[in-house]
Amino acid sequence: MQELGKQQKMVIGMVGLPARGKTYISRKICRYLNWMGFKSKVFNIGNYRRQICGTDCNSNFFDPGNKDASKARDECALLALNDMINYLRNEGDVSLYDGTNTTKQRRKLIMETLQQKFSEVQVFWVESICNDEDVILRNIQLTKLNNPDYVGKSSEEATQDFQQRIEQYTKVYEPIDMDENISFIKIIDIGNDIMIYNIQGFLQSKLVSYLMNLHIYPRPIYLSRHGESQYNVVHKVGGDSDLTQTGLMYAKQLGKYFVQELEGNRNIKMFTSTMQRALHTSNEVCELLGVEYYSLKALDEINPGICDGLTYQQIADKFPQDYEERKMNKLTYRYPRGESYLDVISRVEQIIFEIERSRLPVIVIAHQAILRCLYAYFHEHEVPEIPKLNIPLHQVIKLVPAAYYCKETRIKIDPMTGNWEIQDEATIKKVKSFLDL
Amino acid sequence: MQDCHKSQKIALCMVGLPARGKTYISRKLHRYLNWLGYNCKVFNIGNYRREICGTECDKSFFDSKNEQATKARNECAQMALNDLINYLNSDGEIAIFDGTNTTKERRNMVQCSLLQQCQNVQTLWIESICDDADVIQNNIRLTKLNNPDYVSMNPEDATKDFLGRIKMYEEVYQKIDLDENLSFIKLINIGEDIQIHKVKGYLLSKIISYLMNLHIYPRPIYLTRHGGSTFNQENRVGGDCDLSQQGIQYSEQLGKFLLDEFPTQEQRNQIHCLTSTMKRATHTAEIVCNILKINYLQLKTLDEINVGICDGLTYTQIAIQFPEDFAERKVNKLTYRYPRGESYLDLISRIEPIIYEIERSREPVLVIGHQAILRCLYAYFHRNEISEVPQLEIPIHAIIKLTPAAYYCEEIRIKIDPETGERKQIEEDLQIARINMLTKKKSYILL
Repeated sequence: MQELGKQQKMVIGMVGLPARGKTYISRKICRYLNWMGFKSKVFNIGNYRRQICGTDCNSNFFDPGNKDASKARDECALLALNDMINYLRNEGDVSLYDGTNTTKQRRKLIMETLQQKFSEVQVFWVESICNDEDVILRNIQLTKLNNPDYVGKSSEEATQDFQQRIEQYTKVYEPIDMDENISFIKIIDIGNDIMIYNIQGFLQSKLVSYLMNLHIYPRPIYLSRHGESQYNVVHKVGGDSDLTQTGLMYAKQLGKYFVQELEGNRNIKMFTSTMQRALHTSNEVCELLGVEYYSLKALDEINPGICDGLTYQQIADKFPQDYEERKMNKLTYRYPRGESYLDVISRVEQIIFEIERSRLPVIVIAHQAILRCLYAYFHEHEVPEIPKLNIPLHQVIKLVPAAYYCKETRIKIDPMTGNWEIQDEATIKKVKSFLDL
Repeated sequence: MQDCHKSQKIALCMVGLPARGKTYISRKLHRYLNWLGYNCKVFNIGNYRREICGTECDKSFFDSKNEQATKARNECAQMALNDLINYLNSDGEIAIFDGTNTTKERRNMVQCSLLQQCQNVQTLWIESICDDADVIQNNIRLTKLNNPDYVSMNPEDATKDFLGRIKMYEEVYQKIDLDENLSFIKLINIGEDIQIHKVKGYLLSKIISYLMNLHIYPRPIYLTRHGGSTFNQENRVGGDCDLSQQGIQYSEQLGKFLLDEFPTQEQRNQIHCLTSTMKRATHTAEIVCNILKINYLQLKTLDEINVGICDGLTYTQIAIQFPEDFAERKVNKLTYRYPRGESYLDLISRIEPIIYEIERSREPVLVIGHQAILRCLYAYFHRNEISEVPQLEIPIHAIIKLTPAAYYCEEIRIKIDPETGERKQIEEDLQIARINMLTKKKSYILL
């Protein structure tokens, strides 16, 4: 959704002690903004530090009294800042400055540097405060022990060292104060308490709404297309056709899959569209599960306008120019009297909020274009890839949000036999986590 | 989206000294939530007090040491609360308790009563804090001096008495504390600083997002349909046709009208012009914005209602080809969904993000849209009942100027003749006069 007036470039600065979820939050924001169409990138000061000072830094490195180390750390922070400014000057819209930024002095330095080098930028600070020991310990276990800093150390050693590192930071920690005169949001205890000060503009407003809905409950998200429809069989686009016999069988098998998968848990949220093929699929599933579904027009398939009811071949024959244009620019191409993928992303945004907010398992039974957009959001795909993502019929995509990524499992369900074939893609993501952000 | 979240009842309770905008916020929330389709009602303790104790209460009535008065005031609060609880236990979905609720004791009483006597209720406390003397003074001038309490006093005396009343409350004011264990949002200095505590759930999150965008800048909102189109001339629905000759003329006259409304280029540069992606609206916007020398923003969310299979037909043809649908639509124009198309309810859902944007904007907004879309937008600003939406009159070749005032929207309708450019204010229109009078009167009594 575009906003009124021109959007300024923006820097989002993270603030908080280690293991407070800063990287988690920055990556989520980054993903959300990219998906919405704002080019964003995270600049993680820790990564710069690892590259320049090496990964053999134990907790002494972070002692504020250690002058050499402090100087090195400041240099890393400024390097990251410079790269961030360059990014914004070129193709970037939003930069996320992911570091502890725990002292007033550091924050002031950043504000002044930005004012000097790039005064047209809006700055917004996100502070994460957490005092729950269990949450912090779990955080360390999930994200720090796999960190390059602790390769080759035992988990007890690593945990102990990391906790000492946190203590070094705590010695000098100054939470954001209103007299610093900066726009900020403080998230306390994973959203139990939120304080907002001086937010301005469309994007900051949206981000605050987004952040209010985040949580760290690892609930699963299931995405599936409706069963095979009559139009699918004849390769026609659009329409409001019904399921074929095969499609109906898939719907029943899907129900059985969920019965087994959810193990009798009826506390789930199920969303579908208002189109027959999705409704009938959902009906079958809900009958077996004993739950209700919510039918939302926002999940209706992309509107192909004047091409409704035609096959791709017919479109190529009748509207050769449009056919070519779509091939070249499938993301932005809008069917005459219809929609583009960008329109669909805009439309589907409210569903993203719903899913993020939900602490219960979520099932979405919808259509190809819709699921491409949803899947891209959860799986961190680049927006231009969306129109080509592979979301075949008769397959369930199970996404379980983990520390920095989503564990994905695909379950192919044969409509005739009901056999499942499970494909696990979890491992690819783990490697991605710490390198490129 | 609404049906997913209708399981729990919600009670929103205001907290704050007098003249802090509690009623303003309650009204806005009431309008927004009703527009979204929830059964929502405001229970204003002041109204109960006026009915029971009369309107001759000067500031001594609010002195906490005045035992008799305090007893009376507590009774009024209790009565309002009882009505609120009954409302929620019957067909009400969201109730707003509009009163000062400035002591811990009072809040505790209300919270306990709600939790005990309402089946399955969620509560949210909204505290409005303001220490800007100018804002408070302005508030008093705009809303209190017309208050029934001060009908017989002159403005200076009324202001003095009201300031005295505020002092009475200040003596016992206790801001919401964390140890009261309430879900709350504190709005400080009109949203400059916001504190949110323990707020969960779809609707409460939505309410918070909405509140974050409110402000009191009195910026105008202009709504107009695109110029007359070729389909309009033939009485056809849907389609993506272009402007007729008259439509083009209207667009030019509209541009000139706005030139006069905004005399300097600096003022014009501030206008946010929104339109849809359909030819007739875009063409109108192009012409207008050329004259104003500004840009416009095209939003698919402002596209006209999708009439599905009836696209391109006249109403007569629809009546002949789809007699059942035609009849159904007449009976239930609000919920009826064109096959493969949309309903008015779908529209409301669709344009909700635009409402947020317009609310948030502190600069003038110009929306060049379509009939059904504008009906929905207009209904939001004018607090119409949702059932009235499909019948609201949004004439072609006219511009509606809405200026949000204290508790209602001031409205001016101007018909612009496409050929002569003559502007006629449709003030004699009975509908407008009736609405304006009702809203002004409604301000203090029933909502």
